[in-house]
Amino acid sequence: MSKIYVLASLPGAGKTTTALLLERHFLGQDLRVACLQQNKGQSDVHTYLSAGCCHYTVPLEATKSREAFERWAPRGYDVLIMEVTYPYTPFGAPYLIPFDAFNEVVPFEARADWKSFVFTKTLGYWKEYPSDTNFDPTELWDTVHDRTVQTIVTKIPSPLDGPCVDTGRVLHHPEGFVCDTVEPRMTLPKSDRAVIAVGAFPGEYREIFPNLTWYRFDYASFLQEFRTGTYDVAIIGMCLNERLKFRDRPERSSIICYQPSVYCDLEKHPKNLPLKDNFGSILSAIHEQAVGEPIASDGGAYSSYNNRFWTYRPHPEREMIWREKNVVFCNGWVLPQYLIREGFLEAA
Amino acid sequence: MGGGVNPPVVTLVEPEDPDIGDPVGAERMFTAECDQQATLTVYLDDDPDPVYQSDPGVQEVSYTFESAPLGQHMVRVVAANENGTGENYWNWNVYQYADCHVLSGPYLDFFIRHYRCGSSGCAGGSGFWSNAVCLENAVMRYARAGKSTPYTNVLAGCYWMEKIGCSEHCYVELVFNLDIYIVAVMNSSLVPSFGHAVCAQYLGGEMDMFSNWRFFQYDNLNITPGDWQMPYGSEWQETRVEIKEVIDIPNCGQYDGRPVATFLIDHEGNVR
Repeated sequence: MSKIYVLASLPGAGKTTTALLLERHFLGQDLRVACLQQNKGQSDVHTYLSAGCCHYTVPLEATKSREAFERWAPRGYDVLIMEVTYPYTPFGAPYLIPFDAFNEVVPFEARADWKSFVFTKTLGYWKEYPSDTNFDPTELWDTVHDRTVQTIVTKIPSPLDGPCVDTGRVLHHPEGFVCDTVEPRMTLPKSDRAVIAVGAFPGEYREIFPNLTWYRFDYASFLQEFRTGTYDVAIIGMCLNERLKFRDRPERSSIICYQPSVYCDLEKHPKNLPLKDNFGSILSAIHEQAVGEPIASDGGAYSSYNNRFWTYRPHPEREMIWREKNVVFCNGWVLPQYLIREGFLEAA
Repeated sequence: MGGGVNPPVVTLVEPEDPDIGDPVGAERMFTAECDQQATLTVYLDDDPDPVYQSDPGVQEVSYTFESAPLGQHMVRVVAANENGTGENYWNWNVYQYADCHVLSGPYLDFFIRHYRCGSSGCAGGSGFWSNAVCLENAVMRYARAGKSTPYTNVLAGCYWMEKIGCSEHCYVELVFNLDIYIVAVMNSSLVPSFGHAVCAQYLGGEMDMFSNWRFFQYDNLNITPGDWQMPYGSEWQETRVEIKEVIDIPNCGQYDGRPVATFLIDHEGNVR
C-alpha cells in the first residue's frame, strides 16, 4: 500500500511548489516518494524532472475508478503526491473523485472567499469561448467537495497553525496534510538501451531507460549528440517554442518525437472552440463510456480528447501516433505505456 | 512554477540557404537572428572554442570568415539564455577551382593575385588576403627560384594564392637557389608613367652585358625589349632597367636591393 497525497487548485496557486516541498519532507524521512500529475501535457513536468523527482503522468482513463487508478499508480513507493489542476473542470475533477480526501491549495490572497475566486478565475478563462450552454464554472464544486478537504494556504507572509507554505517557500505542518491509501499495481519494463532526450517528456521514460541522458532545454548540446553520438533512442520532447525546427534526422537510431512540428508543418487545433457540453455531462461520459469512446461533442471545446487515449490531440488532422521510417511521432502527451502496448516502442 | 519552457530558436538570415559553397580564399559573412534575447556564439566545425561570442541580450549576430581551409565546414550559431539553448548552422563547402596552375620547377609562369602573412614554418596563412602586384610577384619568384635561404625566417611566414578558389602556397615551400635578381623597369616619360618590377636570372659572363640576363615575370619567362613589361623608351627618356641584388626582405611584399647592373633602352629598342 502507498499513501497518496492529492493537491488540487487553480494554476498559479503554488501546487507544484507545495508538492516539491512535501516530496523533500518525505524523502527526509527516508521514504520512497513519487510525484504524479494528471495528463496536462508538458506543463510543469520539466520542473519535476529538473528537481530529480520520480515523475509519472496519470492518464484520464485512470480516473474511471479507484481500481483503474491503481493500475496506473507506480509500485515501489511509500508515498505518492499527485497534483491536480483545474479541479472543478471535467478534466480535473475525475482525478479527485476516486479518493476520500484531498488537499486544496489556496493562495493567501484568495483564502477569504475561495469559491468566488474559483468562480471568477474559471469564468475569466472561458469568457473568450462562445458557449452553447448555460455555463456554470462551479457546477462540479459540490461533487468535488463531497469528501474530506484540507486547505493548504500558500504564499502566506507568516506561518499559520495549520499546513501552509510561506512566501519564503518553507513548508509548515506537513503532518496536517490529508491522504488516502492505494494499492499501486503499475510496473514498467526496464531497458539498458542508451537514450538521449531534450525538452519535456513523460518521466516514465527515466524509469524504463535508466541509461537516459536528459539535456534539459539545452537543444544546442542535444543536437550535437543527436547528429553524431552513439545512442539507441532519442526523445525529442516538447517545449513552448513552435518555431523550433530540426534539420537533422539521423537514421541509425530510434527517434520518438513529441513535438512533430520540428519536422512537419502541422495545423494546430483551433483555439476557442465553443463549449458545447456542460461539465457534468463530460464527467459522466468519462465514468460511463469505454476508453476511446467520445466524451465531448464534436467541434466543441473538449473534442480534441475524443481519441483512443483520451489525451489532448493538438494536431487534429493527424493520428495520435504515426511512424515515418525510424521516427515515431506523438500527437500529444502520449505515454510510453501506450507506445509499448501498440508496438511503437521496444522497451526490452 | 510555470507551464512550460520557451527555448531560443536561431534562424539563418544571410545566407538564407543553409548549404553554401565558396572558392577557397573567399571571404564570407554569416548572419543569424534569434527569436529572443540571448548570447549568440559562432563556432566553426568541432572546435569547442568559439570564433565569436556576442554580449548577452542580443538578437542578431554577424561574423565574417576571412576564408576557411579547403573542404566541408559547419558554421554553427548557438543561442543561450535562461530558457535554454538553440542552434542552427550552415554547411559551408570551401572548394578549389579546377583551372589553377600546377607548380613545377623553379619558375612561376602565371600571375599571382593574392598574398598574406601567416604562421612561420610554412604552417599556413591567416588573416585577409591582400592584392599582389608586380613587386610582390617578383619577391615570390625570387623566394622560390633564387638564393632566398637567408630570408627564410620572413619568407616561411608568407603565402600566396593564384586567385580566389586556388590553393594557398608558402613562398618557400621549395627553394631552387638559382642566381635570381629583382629588376626595376622605369620610364616616367611614358603615358602613363611606367614603373614595373620583374625578375632576372644571371646566365653568367659579364654582368653589364644585357644578353647575359634573362628577364621573367608573370606568364612570360623571357621578357625582351618591346614587351609590355619592358617597353622601349620615348624620344625624351630612355627606359631604365636596374638589376638589383637582394640584400634584405623585411616582409612578404618588399625587398632591399643593391644595383649590380643598369641598362637603358631607347625609343628604337637599342640597349646600352
